[in-house]
Amino acid sequence: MGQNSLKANVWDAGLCTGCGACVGLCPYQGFWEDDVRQVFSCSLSNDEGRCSAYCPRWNLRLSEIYGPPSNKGGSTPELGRIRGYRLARASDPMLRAKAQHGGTLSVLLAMALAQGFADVAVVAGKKESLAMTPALVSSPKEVISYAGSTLFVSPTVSGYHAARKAGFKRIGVVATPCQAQALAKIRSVSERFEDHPGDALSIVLGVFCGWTLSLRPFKERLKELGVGRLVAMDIPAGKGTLEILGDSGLAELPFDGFEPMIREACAFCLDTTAELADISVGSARTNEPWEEMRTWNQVLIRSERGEAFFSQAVELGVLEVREAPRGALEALKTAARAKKQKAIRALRQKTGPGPKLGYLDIQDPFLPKFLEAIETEGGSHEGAH
Amino acid sequence: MKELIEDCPGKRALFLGNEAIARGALEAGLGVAASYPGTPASEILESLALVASEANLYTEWSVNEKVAMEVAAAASFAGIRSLAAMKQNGLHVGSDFLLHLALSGVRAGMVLVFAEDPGAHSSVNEADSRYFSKMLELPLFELSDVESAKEVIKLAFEISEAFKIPVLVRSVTRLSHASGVVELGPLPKPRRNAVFRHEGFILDPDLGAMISAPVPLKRMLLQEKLAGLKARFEEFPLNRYFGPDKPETLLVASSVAVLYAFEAIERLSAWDKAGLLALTTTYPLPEGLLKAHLKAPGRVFIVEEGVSFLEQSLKAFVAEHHGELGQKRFLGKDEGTLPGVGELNVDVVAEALAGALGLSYEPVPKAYASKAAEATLMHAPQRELAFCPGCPHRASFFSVAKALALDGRGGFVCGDIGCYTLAMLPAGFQVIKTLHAMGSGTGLGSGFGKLGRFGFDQRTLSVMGDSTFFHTGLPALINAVHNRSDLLLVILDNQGTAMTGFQPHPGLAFDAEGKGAMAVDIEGVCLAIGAKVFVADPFELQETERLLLGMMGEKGEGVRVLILKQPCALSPQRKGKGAYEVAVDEAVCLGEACGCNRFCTRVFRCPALFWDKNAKKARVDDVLCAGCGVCAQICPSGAIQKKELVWAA
Ligand SMILES: Cc1cc2nc3c(=O)[nH]c(=O)nc-3n(C[C@H](O)[C@H](O)[C@H](O)COP(=O)(O)OP(=O)(O)OC[C@H]3O[C@@H](n4cnc5c(N)ncnc54)[C@H](O)[C@@H]3O)c2cc1C
Ligand code: SF4
Ligand code: SF4
Ligand code: SF4
Ligand code: SF4
Repeated sequence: MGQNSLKANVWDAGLCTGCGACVGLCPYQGFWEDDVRQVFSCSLSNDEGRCSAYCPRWNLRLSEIYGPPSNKGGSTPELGRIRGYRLARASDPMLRAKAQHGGTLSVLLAMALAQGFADVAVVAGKKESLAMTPALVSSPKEVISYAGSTLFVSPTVSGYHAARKAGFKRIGVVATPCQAQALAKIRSVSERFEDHPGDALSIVLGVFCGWTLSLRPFKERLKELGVGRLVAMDIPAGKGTLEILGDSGLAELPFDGFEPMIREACAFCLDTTAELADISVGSARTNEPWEEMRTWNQVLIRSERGEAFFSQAVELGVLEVREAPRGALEALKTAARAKKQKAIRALRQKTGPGPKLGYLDIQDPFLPKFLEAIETEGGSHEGAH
Repeated sequence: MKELIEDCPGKRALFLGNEAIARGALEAGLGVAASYPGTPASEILESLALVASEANLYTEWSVNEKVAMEVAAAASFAGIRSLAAMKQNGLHVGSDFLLHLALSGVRAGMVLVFAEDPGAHSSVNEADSRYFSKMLELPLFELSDVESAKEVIKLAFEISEAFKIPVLVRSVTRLSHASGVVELGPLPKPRRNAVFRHEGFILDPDLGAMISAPVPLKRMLLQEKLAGLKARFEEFPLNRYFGPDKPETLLVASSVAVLYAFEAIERLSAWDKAGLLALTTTYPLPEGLLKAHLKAPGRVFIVEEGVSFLEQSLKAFVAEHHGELGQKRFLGKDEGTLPGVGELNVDVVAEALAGALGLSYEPVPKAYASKAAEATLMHAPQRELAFCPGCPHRASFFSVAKALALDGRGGFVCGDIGCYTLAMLPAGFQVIKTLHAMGSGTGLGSGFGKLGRFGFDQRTLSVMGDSTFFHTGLPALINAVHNRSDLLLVILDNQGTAMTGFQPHPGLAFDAEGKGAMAVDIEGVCLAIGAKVFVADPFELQETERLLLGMMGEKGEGVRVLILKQPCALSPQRKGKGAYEVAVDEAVCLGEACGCNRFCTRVFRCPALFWDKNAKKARVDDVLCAGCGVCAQICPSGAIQKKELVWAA
């Protein structure tokens, strides 16, 4: 059964990313704090149900969301398709000050709305309780108030459903890798449903993601720290710490203490750089000093649409760009490959011997090739950040 | 119920068993009656309350059964005949008081009627409370039919007053809720003058203090009374024998089982072999009468509702008088001639008796029985217990179920006694996971809420109704507040004791007789004891869910109370006055498709919503719909539409 598949194989198995793709479709499941919950039980089958069809952690066919593996078009096993790689940041320093890093994401998003690439944008909104909830933004001016990263799960994809329900036909989404996978899966199954649910997706702006933290233990820790209401958080490059800015102070703490709070599902994640987005944006973790680099972003331009879009932002002067230092892309690849390898090991361990491999659809004829590509090259460097 | 106070001796009237009990009390010169509503006892006080002013009575729905007993006892102490009535549980609730009342004794006749529910038709227990009589050393009468019930009650008053002892009278559902013809006796018009005398010597039953001490002396007095009662019961007119002088098998029966046993012998045409000793006074037993009837038969078959109370007493009696009575074979519940669980009926008794006598008995021809079973299976719609259309509890539990599921910490509901008990079934989304006595949901919740130090992180939510709050819920709540238990209590305030028929309770501004009364404010009480309190309308689903989720709380958060206020759908305020006209827009209804999957009829399940199999759409049954408008809030597609109705004041 649709929902039962999710319950047994995703929620109860600790695989749920919290992407929100199964939320807001019906009254049977809901999202609370940072988890999807079965609220009532639904009896529909996998063939009928959207929840399991959309879920990136159930029967995920890599070849269907990526297309068959190939070496053409700049496709790399570590980072997915790459049309361009740059460092970028918002030209406006005021905007940068409000953003997580360089503000590239916010700029691109505002431009998408202003230039008519999208009628509405789905972003991660924050609630008083620290839990996140998707917000729909249709005015470019509003975008900046959603800047900044909160390192918990946001059920962003449910915001895509809400935007469709509200009648929007061209929807832009800021998505983490798992959310981008979910959106790609919705596109890939779109034909199965009368209303073609994937058709309204106009642009996906990806955020790099190493992991997310579980909300409840983090909130408890926050209370102990006494920093007050959470304003911002980040992982400074190369320091092994977590910065927490509260309204009554800043704390920089060894990350070790937070490691156990990493969401179980993230251990099984194959993607660091939101490979299925049109453009992906992350922090600039290069060999230059972090204090300087924290105001920049690494940008991976992936699709044709993304390329056109990015160029327009540069032409309009809202983004400044520079070349990335040598070795930066290689370092990113190494980190991304390490995450993939770790995830596959974790999946093997979870599923045990036999052909089954976690949420990956083993009927996928291209799966062996994908696995081979990831597992043969490179060492086992750990840590995405 | 005019006939209840008709002073027309010799007239025959059709009475409900409970009305016959009430009439008996009136003919005995009753002055005060107190009760707590509970099926099958409720109509006793209800009918008395209706005639209270005409018959110059004081009647009340007490806060609980213990207080009902106390109110009745006070009247007796002051020389006014009194009655306390309750369902089986009530005797257990009040037993502490009764334990002491047995020793202090009473003055004017005081009768305590407890109506039991064999088969648990409307109870969550199948108590046989007769052992209280032995335990507390109090006389016990068992009513067997409507006709004699009235007489037994009158005798109970006389005996109580003569022996200055409270008398226990047992009824059961099949008597309380059956009707029968009763011959009216004269109605006395006693001139009452209530005075409590207390100036005399402590052991003086008429002038001394009413106290259970000095205990040894008071117990000696009590046992003297019992000895006197034993003798008195030898002559008791309603201990009767039917059948041959020397039967091979003697049936000894009490309560409504007397009728079953009589009918069984009749149907088997076995009056030549079997006799029936029908006992009303089952404690203490009339020994002479027993000896006279137990000598001849070799076999004794005890037929009684409940546990083997009479059976055990008879066995002990025969063992004691073994020399005189000789060897007997006993049949009954202990060795399985009769089932140990559930209610008896004529067929059960007749089949058992036929087996014992070597006869054959077929209650219903086999062919007919199998045909009937088949027809039932084919044609009767499968229905389980459900909340009524428009019931506030469905809405409340919908939100509770959602909040518990979303919270995701394995939360559960400690249930309590009322209509809302149904939340252990799909009707209430199966959220209730513990269910015991009145008020126990909150007591258990108070206990669960202190297990945090042992790693317990499940959210505990207790529910109780407004009537239960006053009955025994409040002490448990105070316990939780005082001990800083992590408890979320939801008070389902439907503004009346709905399950038993809208009897008032202390939260309402009128009393049993319909006169003005002080309303005790539940919210105010909760605030005063230091709980955090919120109030909401359960029909506002979003708001209720939001409050519940916000109140789930963290470890160490203490007691939170949410009062969900909305009158019962069948209450006089709401009945026939729906707030909305509701209909399903077929074009919008998703039906079985993903996104709904018949959410309204498969999950929400208001009985007024039904699934049209042919059209594959949901529909509203206008006749059943109470117009609460809640279904319009749960429909995921907005297909259920509501239109506000305006009612003239
Ligand atoms: C959970 C998480 C983990 C991350 N891990 C890494 C990492 O390992 N390495 C790395 O280089 N970068 C990581 N990032 C990305 C980084 O934090 C910045 O988002 C990115 O560098 C873009 O910066 P910016 O200044 O352009 O963003 P801004 O202009 O500040 O915009 C940030 C955007 O991200 C959205 N957002 C915020 N929180 C979330 C969330 N929890 N889920 C979905 N969307 C959200 C906001 O709605 C906003 O649109 C992570 C981000 C998140 C949310
Ligand atoms: S199958 Fe459809 S209706 Fe059922 S739970 Fe999944 S999304 Fe909801
Ligand atoms: S991974 Fe996404 S779609 Fe799958 S169960 Fe979790 S929230 Fe739903
Ligand atoms: S909940 Fe609404 S959409 Fe679903 S079956 Fe009922 S009326 Fe139709
Ligand atoms: S309005 Fe809806 S929920 Fe209320 S009684 Fe009518 S059908 Fe039932």
